[in-house]
Amino acid sequence: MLDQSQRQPEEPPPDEDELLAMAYADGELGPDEAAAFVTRLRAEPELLRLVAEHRALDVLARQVGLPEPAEIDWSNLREDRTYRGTTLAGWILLVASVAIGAAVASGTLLLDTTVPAPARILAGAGVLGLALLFSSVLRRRLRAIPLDPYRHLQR
Amino acid sequence: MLILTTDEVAAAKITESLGLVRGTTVRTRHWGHHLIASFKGLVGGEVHEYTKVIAEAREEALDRMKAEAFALGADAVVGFRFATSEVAKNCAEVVAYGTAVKLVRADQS
Repeated sequence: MLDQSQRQPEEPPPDEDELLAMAYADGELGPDEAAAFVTRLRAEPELLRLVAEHRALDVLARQVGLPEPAEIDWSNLREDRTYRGTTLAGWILLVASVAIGAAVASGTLLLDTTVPAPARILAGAGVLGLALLFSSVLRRRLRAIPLDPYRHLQR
Repeated sequence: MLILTTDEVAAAKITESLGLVRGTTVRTRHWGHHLIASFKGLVGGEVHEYTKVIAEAREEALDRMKAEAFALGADAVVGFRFATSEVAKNCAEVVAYGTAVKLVRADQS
């Protein structure tokens, strides 16, 4: 049995918004309550986060299996300095070479006066378009990550 | 909510079938995971990157199906199944589906 010093400090009871978020995530709100709550969700990012957190807990609770030996080994490997170092160095080299290569190729093409101007403009517009599309997709994903309750699942 | 692969519910009686409920999702992981997974294809073993994406898709599809069943006021989903396919390279599509039903305890019917 834990003595007083070992006990975790008690968490404060959930407030009304937390209870509402739990009920919404569990599908326990009636149609009118749910519609009103959705209206609030659109305007209150903190409520969105509460719902996402509760859903993530629900999803993780469904993973009741004990970790397998291979998972424990894989987890240890991720902490290994050599593994982390080689992985990090590999990614840095790969991403840097691709980014620099793309920049150099684009610059060479755009500044090459032997290529007709319309072709250079088209190529530049294409590269810029791809960059803008990628950045918008990346931005959307980065915003959605905290609200994605499934990202901690393993198997 | 009960989610059952069987067509009947032990100790309960189905009083009403509310119809098909389903949830679907298509998920993928970022390019880096696919690159690592392709290296694992060279050396063998579990491709954890894809195990994870299938697990994510399965749980998301299940939750969407449950949300649909909740919206219908169901007590359970019977005849539950998962179906999966690849709609694009390295994208996992998972469909969870079943029949939403209302129940009463067998001793109350």
